[in-house]
Amino acid sequence: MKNVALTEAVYYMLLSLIKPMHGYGIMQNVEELSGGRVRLAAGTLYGAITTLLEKGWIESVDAEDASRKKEYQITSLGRTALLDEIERLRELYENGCRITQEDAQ
Amino acid sequence: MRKIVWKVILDWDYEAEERWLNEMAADGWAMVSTRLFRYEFEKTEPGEYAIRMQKLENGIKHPKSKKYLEFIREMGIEVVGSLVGWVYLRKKTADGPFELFSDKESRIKHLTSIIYVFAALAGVNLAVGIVNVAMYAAMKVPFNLFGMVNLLVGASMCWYVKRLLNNRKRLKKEQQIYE
Repeated sequence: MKNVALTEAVYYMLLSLIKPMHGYGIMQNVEELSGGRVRLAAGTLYGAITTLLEKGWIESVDAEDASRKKEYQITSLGRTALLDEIERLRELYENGCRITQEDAQ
Repeated sequence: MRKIVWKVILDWDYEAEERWLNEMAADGWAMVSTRLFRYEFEKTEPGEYAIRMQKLENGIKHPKSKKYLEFIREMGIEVVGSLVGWVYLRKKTADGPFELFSDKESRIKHLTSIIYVFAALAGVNLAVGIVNVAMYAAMKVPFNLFGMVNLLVGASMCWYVKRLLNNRKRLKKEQQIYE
């Protein structure tokens, strides 16, 4: 599926997982990236992680010791989806700027 | 210090139950365990905890549920009770607002699994009620308490399902514009 909008949660999660992170780390990172605007709730985050694992967009990182929290990272498939989304967002953004600016003149 | 409160919540409204548990927590009584109608609280600082209830998609012992609960524990959420597929969760308010869902899609999914449960219960109650009332009527017994109670319970659950369906419809409508 190409050029389908990602949810804000998934977009920021994929962006976070360019570096390996555990669930709590993702939540904190997304909140920080968005300047406190996007707060992922635990249930929503878990659902999204499960779906992204199933789709093969992220994978679990093997922990060296089992007592540590489970970490995840983006796969090449996930990276492609993320880059496609950035292109799509660029189009949205540029069209938005261009048309509203033309209108303002 | 601990205390036990018996409370019968008869209108099947989990949000009302959650609201009550949060009022208790705001007064400095945080829930630590529950059995049917019986809630145990411990004394805490007023407003130290916030409470949420969640209907799991599977039973509490199911591997999927265990994995989920393990995950939310890592997020600083404590599981303080479970009852027929529901879990009672609490989190320190100092860690920020406690929500389980942050988008409409997961809220709608949760609501849907609750609707299924109550629709099934309503159906069973209505069916048992109708069979009982009809059976006794055939035996020329004009009034049958057991059957009437089933009918009443079934009807009130139907009413609740209707309310939940309305909530879901509203969320779905909003979802067409916002995430």
